Amino acid sequence: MSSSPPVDRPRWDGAVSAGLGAGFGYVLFRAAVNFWTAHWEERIEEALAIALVGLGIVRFLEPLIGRLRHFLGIPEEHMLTPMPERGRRVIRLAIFAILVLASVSHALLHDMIKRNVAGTVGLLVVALLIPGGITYAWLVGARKDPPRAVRYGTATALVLGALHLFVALVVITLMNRATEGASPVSLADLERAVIFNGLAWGALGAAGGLVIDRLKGPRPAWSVAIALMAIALVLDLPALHDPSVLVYGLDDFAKIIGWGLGLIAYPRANRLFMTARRATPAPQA
Amino acid sequence: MSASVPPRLPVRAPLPRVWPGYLIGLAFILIASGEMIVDRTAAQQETLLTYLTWLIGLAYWLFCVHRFHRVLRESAGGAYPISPARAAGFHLIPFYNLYWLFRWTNAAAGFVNGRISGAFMRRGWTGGLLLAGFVLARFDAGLGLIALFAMAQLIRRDIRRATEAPA
Repeated sequence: MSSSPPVDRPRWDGAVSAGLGAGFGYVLFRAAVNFWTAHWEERIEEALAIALVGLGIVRFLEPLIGRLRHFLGIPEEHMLTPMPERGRRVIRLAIFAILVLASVSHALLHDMIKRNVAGTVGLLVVALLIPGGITYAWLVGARKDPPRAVRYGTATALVLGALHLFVALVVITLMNRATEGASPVSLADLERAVIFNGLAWGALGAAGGLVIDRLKGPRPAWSVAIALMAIALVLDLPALHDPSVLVYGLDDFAKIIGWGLGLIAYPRANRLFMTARRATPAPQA
Repeated sequence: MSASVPPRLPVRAPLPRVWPGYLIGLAFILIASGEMIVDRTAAQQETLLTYLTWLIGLAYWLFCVHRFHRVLRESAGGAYPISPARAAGFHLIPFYNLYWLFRWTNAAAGFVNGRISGAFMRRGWTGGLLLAGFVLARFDAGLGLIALFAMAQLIRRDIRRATEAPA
């Protein structure tokens, strides 16, 4: 039985990266829905602003930064090997796409936060806490010998998934009662929602943990992200069939995509997800 | 070429952690209070969530009892009279479980007192306090769970001292 240090900075950073990915995935999707449902004049105005910002970055800021790098003698990053003209064009196009995406995201997020600061922060915190907590549990479990990512991830996911909705519904009831004097949910609805939410998060925690404990590929972070998306797709299938709840299904999916991207984006995720068994070299016969 | 692989030492089970039990007890109190906020009649009925939480608490309690006995057995080199499965399973037999609380705690007290000089764990008292915890759980399951796990913490402390003491 191995013991692990109680405080581990890389684990913490990995969990925060995953949590932030999920949080921003969710908020960004909500912002996109808000943009899509806005008046057409507003939409055109917003799209124009985004296009202008993107153009400004690509045609002015990027060359300017390049010149500054050259002037200050800072070497270009990620350009270690010379590239053919066609490759360079593709890279420029990719950079443009990323910048446009970043500008769109930024504008949408700004719009969303401007509309409701407290609500957005609340959404972000909830979306951050659960995936972040589950990721941390996976990372702790992965380092046990034998690996315990399934056990730790599932237990954490069940508890956090059930508890956060329970607390949220009770707080909403308290607030509603103060203004309207009636409870917005019945006890049966509350129980059903809490149990279903706990089980749904539990399935995600179990799937990710299973991949970490059992799969032996070189990129466990990718495998976890794919497993999460597959489970999210299965869980949200009923919502995808029903237009009235489609947006709720899709925002869950956006959260999971953000979670997966957050995992992949964290540079040390693959190493951290390597279980203790895989990390220890096999004894030489 | 033949490699000599050193024999793997038997893995000794660690004593169970008690803090998850306290958390389950606190979660029970939180859930019961929250349900009363949503529906004032919740206090008069047994709801699904509180029932599930109680079941989880009971399962964790049985896990702790199982693990205590595994540690005792391993420490006694297999000579400890009660097997882990029997220790946990007999809690589920109605009426007999009242006697069983005294039976297993007295056996544990015998082991602990045999290892540490003096009557460190008093026979009868531990079982009596556990019974009081289960009775309290009939009236308030959250507080009952917390009381049970507080006793589990004392039992854990005594077993740890006894197993760390030279045989």
